[in-house]
This record gives sequence, C-alpha cells and structure tokens, in this order.
Amino acid sequence: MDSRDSRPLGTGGHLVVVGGGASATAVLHHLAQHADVRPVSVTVVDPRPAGFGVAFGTADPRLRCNTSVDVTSLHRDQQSDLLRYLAGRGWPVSRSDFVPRALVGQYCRERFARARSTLAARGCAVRQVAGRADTVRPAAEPGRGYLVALNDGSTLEATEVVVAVGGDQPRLPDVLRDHADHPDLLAGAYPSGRLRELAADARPLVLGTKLSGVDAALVLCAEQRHVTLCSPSGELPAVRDRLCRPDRPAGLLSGLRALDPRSPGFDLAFTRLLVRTVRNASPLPPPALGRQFGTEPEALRRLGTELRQTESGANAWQSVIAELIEAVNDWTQGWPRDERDRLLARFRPLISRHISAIPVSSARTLARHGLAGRLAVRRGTPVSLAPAPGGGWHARWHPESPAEHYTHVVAAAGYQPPAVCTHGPALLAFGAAACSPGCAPPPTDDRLRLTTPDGRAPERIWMVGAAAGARTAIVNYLWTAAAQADVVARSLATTAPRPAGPAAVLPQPGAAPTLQTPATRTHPSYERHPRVRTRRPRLHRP
Amino acid sequence: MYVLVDPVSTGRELAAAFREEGARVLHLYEAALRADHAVDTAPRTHLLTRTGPGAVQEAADLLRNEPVAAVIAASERGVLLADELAHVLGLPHHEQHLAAARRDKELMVRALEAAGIPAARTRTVASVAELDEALDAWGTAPGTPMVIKPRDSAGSDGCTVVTSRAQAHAAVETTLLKSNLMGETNTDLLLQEYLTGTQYIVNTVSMAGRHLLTEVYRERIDTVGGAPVLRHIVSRPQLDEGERDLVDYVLRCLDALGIREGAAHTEVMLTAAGPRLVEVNSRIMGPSLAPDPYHAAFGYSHQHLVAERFLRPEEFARRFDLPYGGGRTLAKVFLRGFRDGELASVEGARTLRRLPGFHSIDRLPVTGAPIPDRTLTTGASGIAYLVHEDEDLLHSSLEFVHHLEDDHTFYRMADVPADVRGAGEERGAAA
Repeated sequence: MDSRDSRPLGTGGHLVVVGGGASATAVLHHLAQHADVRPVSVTVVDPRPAGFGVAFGTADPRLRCNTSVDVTSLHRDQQSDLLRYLAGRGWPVSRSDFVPRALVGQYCRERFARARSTLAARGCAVRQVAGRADTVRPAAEPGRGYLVALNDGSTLEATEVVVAVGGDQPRLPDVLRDHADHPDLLAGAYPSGRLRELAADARPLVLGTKLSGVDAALVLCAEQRHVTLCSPSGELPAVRDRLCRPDRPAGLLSGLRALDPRSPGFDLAFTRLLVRTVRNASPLPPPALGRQFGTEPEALRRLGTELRQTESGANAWQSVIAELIEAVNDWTQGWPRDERDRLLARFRPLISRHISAIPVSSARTLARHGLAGRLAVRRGTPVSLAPAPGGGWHARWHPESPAEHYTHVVAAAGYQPPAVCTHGPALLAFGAAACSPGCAPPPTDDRLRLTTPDGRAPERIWMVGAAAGARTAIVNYLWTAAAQADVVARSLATTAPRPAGPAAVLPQPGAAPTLQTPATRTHPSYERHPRVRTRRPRLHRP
Repeated sequence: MYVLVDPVSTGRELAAAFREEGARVLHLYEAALRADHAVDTAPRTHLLTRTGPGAVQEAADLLRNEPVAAVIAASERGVLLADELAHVLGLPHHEQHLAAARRDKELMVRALEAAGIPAARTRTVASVAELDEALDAWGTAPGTPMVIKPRDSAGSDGCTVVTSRAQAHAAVETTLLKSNLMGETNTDLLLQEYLTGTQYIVNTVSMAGRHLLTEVYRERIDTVGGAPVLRHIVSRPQLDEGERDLVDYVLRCLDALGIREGAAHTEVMLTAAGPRLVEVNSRIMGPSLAPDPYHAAFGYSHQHLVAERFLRPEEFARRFDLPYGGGRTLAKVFLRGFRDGELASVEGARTLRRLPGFHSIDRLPVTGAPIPDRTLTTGASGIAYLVHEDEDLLHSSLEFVHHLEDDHTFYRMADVPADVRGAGEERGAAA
C-alpha cells in the first residue's frame, strides 16, 4: 500500500472487506454506484471465490432459495435487481419465483465483477486475497487507520474496514464433537457434491429438519436412498409459494411500535396483531386460520396438509412474511441484544418455521419422498452417536434403547453465526482468534459503524450481514443485507475521516442515512422495563 | 498443394480451415474409408484402393508429379500413412524411425524410457495367461488399481479400471478379440499402471522440430461403472508452476517421439511423482473442434494454427516469441445421458443456454432415438462450449449442468418415470 493516510473513501483510501459473500458484494455494488467514491484500493478477504458465499455457492439445481426473486436482490429498487439480471439472461422469471441458489450465486458473482470494473475505471484496484482475517487492530500511529492480520501471517493496511463475514462453520452437535474427522460424518449440506457421492444404498441420518436438513434430504433422497431427518422439534418448515414485498403494507411496524414488550398482555397482543395482519393481507376474504396451518404432530403429514393448503391458495399468511421480517428488524434495532434475542426466542415456535418456510416445489418433492418411504422425520436427537465397527454409525435414541445403524451422519443444523468480537488489544477478532466460537459481534451505531464500549467516536469499521447481528435481528436475508449495504456505502462515501491524534467525537454529516427512523432506534419501553417475560406464546392459536 | 490424409472426425474441421484460406487441397482416403470418401464434397478427393505398404506406393505414384507442399495427417487413422507418404515424397515429416512409437501406446512408453523420460508402467498382453504373467512380474499388491484398454483405439473405448486380478481377467475377456472404435479387432490389450492425479491435455503445433504451445486443458474424469468418463475439459490461460513443469515434460515427450511438423494432441497425468504421459497423438485434437468457441476464447483454433503453419509459416513463426495464454477460459462439456431409452427432449438445453459463459452446443443428439456413445469420448452424445473471463463463474455453470445430467434432467428419456424428473419439473427459472 502506498499510503496510510486516513482519507475518506471519496478521495482515496484503502478499504479492506472481510468476507466475500453476498453481503460483501452488496456493499461493493452500492459503492460502485457512488460516483464520488474513488478509493485507491479495495481488498476482499475470503478463502472462497468472491460473490458466491456458502449457501449461494452451491451449484445444485435441486436446491432453491426460499425467498422469492422479488426480495433476493443486492439493491433495494422498485424492481428486483435479480429479476433484471435473470431477465437479461433470458429466464422467463416472475418476481414470486424461487430460483436455484446457484443462479443467485452467479448473479452475485457477476455483480461483483461489474462493481470491480466500475471501481477500476475510477482508478481503484480491486483484488481478492484468498484467506481469512484473524484480527483488526488500530495502526501503531493513532489516526493512521487499521491493520488487518490474516491467518497466513500477513497484514493488510486499511483506512476503512467493512466486516461482512457470514457463518461458514456447520453446527456440530455435542455428541459428534469427538468424531469431527470421521469419514462417514458430513458436516453441512453444502456443497452438495459430497452428499451426491454417497452410495445409492446408503442410509444417512441427517441432524436437522430446517433449511439445511431439507436441502440435504432433497439431494440424498433423489437417488432412492433411505434418509432420516431428526431434530429436537421434529418439525419441518412451513410451505409457501412466494415471499414478496406486499402490494399493500399491513402496517405491522406501527402495530409493533404500539406494543409494550414488557407488559403482561404483550404475548396475546402480539399474536392478535399477527392474526389481524394475516386476515387483512388479502383483498379477498382469506380462508379461516385453521385452513391455513397444518396441525398434525407428524411432520410429513403436516407437510402434506400445508402443501395442499398452499397449492389451493389458502395460504394467506405468506403475504405478510416479508413485512414481518422488516418490521421485526426495524422494531428491535437498538434494543439490547440479549433482551431482543430472548423475546424472539419466545416467539420462535410461532414465526420461525413460517419465516423459514420452504418453496412449494421443494415441499412437493419432500412429500413424494415421504410417500415413497424414502424419507422419515423423527422428533428428538440421538443421545449417543458412535462409529460402528464395520463403518457407519450406531445411534441410540434413548440410553437403554438398542443401537440403530446409519451409514452416514449429516450435520445439517445450520451454520454457527460468525465468531466476531472485541478481544484483547484487537478491535475485532474473528474465528479462532475470537474469545470463543460462540461469541457475538460487538454493537454498532445506526450507520452500522463499530462502536467502542468507552463511548468514543465510532471506528471507521462497518458491519453488515451476519456480522451486524448485534443491531439487526434477522440477518440471513439478502433484502436486509441490501439495505445495510446502502447505509454502509453512503456512510463510507460521506463520513469524514478521523483526524490523526487521539480519537475524537466527530459530528456526522447529516446526509448520511441510518438504517431506521430515529424514532425507533431505541424502544422507549426498554428504558422503563429492563426485563422481558420468558413464557412462550402459543402456536398460531389466538 | 496440401494432402490431408484421412480427413475424418476433426479432420473435417482441419480441411475446412484450409478451404477458408483458399488453399489447394487433396483429401486422400485409405481404402477402408470408402463411405467417408463418398460423401466428401471437396473439389479434389481420392480414395486409395490398395492397403498396407501398397497404399503408400499407390499414393506416391498418384502424387509424384504434383506440386505437393506437405502431407498432413488429418485424423488418427491417417498418422502412419501421412508419415510414410511424406517420407517417400521427400517432404518435411516427423522422424521416420519413430513412426510406430507415435501410433502404438506400448512403443510410445518404450521410446520415452529410452529418452530417460519417466513413464507409467505399461505392458501389452494378448491373453489372460500373459496378463497373469505381467501381474506376477510387477508384483502388484492386491487392490492396486490398473487400467486395461485396447492397444489401438480412441475415445475411452474399452478402457476399464480394475482393482483385482479377477476384475482384470474379466476386462481382458470382455475386450480381447472384440471390435474397437477404430473398426479393428483388439488382438492385444494394454495393461497400464493406474495413474492418480489430474489429467491434462496439451496441444501443440510444430514447425521444423520447434513446438508451439497452443492450449492446455485440465480434464474432469469421473468413474462410471468402473470406466473413466470424461465430463469436461477447461482451458488454463495461466499456468501454475506444476503446469509449467507439465508442459516442459510434454515438449520433451514430443522430441522423444520425433514430432517435428504439424499438430500434436497430448494427454498427460499430473501425479504426485510428477507428469506421466498418457498418450501423444500426432494430429489435431478430437472429437469435435467447432472453431468459433476456440476463437472466442483464444483468437485461434488448433486446426487454424495448423493451416497457418503450412500456408503462412512466417506469420506462424512469430508466435514462438509470444507469451502463452492470456485469453478467456474455454470449457468443453461432453454432455451425458446415463439412462437407457429414446431421447424425449433436451430439457436441459434451455437452462444451459441461459447460464453465464454459454457459447454453443455441437452435435446435439436427435429426439426419438437413443443417445449414442453415452460414456465414450466421441462427442456423439453432444458437446457444449462455454467461454468466459471468469473461471470460477464458468465452473459454477459447469457444475450446474453436470448435476442436471446426473439427475437425468438434461436429457429426458421417454421411459423415465415422471417421479424421478426432479429439478426439471420445477416451475420458474429452471423450468
């Protein structure tokens, strides 16, 4: 690097982007649209090819996004940027379609290349370093930017840093920790090639019944293998045929703002708000709630019911999900993270399987595998999993029960959120350098800039996507990342640099947008009620 | 005048490259290629009537008073005849005493050994007894993979990977004395050490013993039913250190086999012990050389460089001073359908044509008939070309297409039950 001047990105500077998936691409995509952004260099740090990420990096046509084209976009325009991209390639696509994840990965990759070309035309060198960042520290000389230490021992100098790391480490249950290297253990559903390589007579046990587990089943069952999914809940996601922005917003955010999360009647009021919103979502009288949700305790039967409901047009709740995600994210911004997470955990059974519902085509395929006897879904997880002497695994579902044999175990309970924290002398530490694998990202201000506990001026470090989990509740959603990227890009383009010398609180230019309206930055009721209740609400039964 | 010997397979593309230049060309066919000769519409063709040494003499008599500038092998079949004819006519040609080594895979290995170039252990066997003798001599440990293939064929025809003596016996009994892809009987087979690593293709065009590196490709080869199946090749515009060593190795192999003029197409495995030759073919690459994707990627094709080397040698010579690579990445996909039955529709073509990098499809099988040569490398089951600057993006498209093939949704067969159609039935963008 030629210069370590802490100049604003509009007139120079060296930007390091930690992470190279969809969130990072969204930031570059937005930066490229600010004609006055002329950094000297942009360096993306990621071990995988930039743009694709983990979930979108799979090239398997069987695996589809569970968000419609309408909201799977790097940019929040009236028309989805993904829709424009796919139309430009000749796809007869509609905004409600669920397209293969691979097409979204290719879209991100091509947009990354376009952003790189645009920035290059302004004299900016955009490059990728294949590696991982360990830490971000202040440069030795105050006000001279940052040092980003990489896992190969090298260091990048930066005037600004964007942290866009996502979770790429599959969750491994405790019963498997001692066998993490076992050849018959497949950690994660992606890339799917490892699953496809299993023999046709394999009998895999998949730990996880949510999106990763479903994806694993879609790949594994196709070759007539007999697959068992399991999880503590034994529940599959709900079914939908679209996740689009509403034509008529139902006013969920204003409804939420009117609620007091600490009042004794909050759970009932929140549930009533959801029910009212679902009833009002359609211009036509929606079907009764009882005809919109399956109630069978057995997951595949419930899947069949919800599949029929969706195919018959009875599924009105799906119309409010996009607005619900937005409203929850806006409503909870600025809340103390632990309290926000406690509240959301209480409502997880009510809303999680609907927010994470699967496309109707995937549900149809799963149901078919279930009917053919290739797929079983169990409630509960094995109390022990041990390598079997002749290969494969012995699973015990109860301490006294006989062992069942599975040829393979697939750990498909999702991915650990990225380990990011402020640790020791480092402003940020990642992965193995973080304080623990389960540590949470530190807080940011409303422009997603890293703030320090001592209340000094925010760092010239921005957090987006999963790394912004301290501020945003539902982050695994490209539409959310697109909004964050817009905020970060505008902030990078307009925020004045920190002057050399001791850190100072600088007035921020008024033009820089925030992620939410000022009125919702901190819900006033939190100041009055420091604790929230812990009782779980009932499932969609007001 | 230029004589193209046996212009079949991609030799037709070579002939077309010469025609584009307006060159005077004679298409010379050996007697066995009567049918190919009959449909050749070139202005000047000739079908030989005699075979063996007599054919060389017949061709020499035909051409002795013609202004022949070069005799060029236009397919694998024409390699020996072209060499001998050029020698008889006193024209530039490969080293004559190594002609057999350029055509015979065992002699090829012996020639490399003689030049001190590392090569895979190879032996010819003509019976199960000879196979046992060879295995005993090698002292091969049980479970060690080996390859058994026809001594004289092409396109992965009859190529089998075995891991036991029983499998080896079965492979010999299945292949020996059977007709091969070249229309000849497998009177003996090649037993070869199984090479583990990444297989490459290195294409060259030579002039007066100097070799021009034209393309390097990395191959993806899957094993299906015990046989290697080529899925795609991807060009390498930039070579890493190991690949540069591999190219150096290939150039030494060309010298060891006496290659001096025209095209060579070499397959080589990059193993942990270094490069090991699979085979050198002293002709242009097969089985399909639609020129446009190559031009889109590199600005030239293998066959057009051969034409340039003979028609405009001064121009061609400038290339020796130019750096290799720098073009776009080209992928050539050998499309596969792994199910029996008649082809009902090319369902995946719609998807393929919308993926980043798609360039063209060549030799798409017709609907209403079985897919020919489903696992061979003849190109008859269809070839797709992709060209793009971004190799990672290209690989994403390649993997997507291969998954469609593996899921039986690229080629939809008439007898495939509806419940295994998978992704092809999805609504929306993949439909």
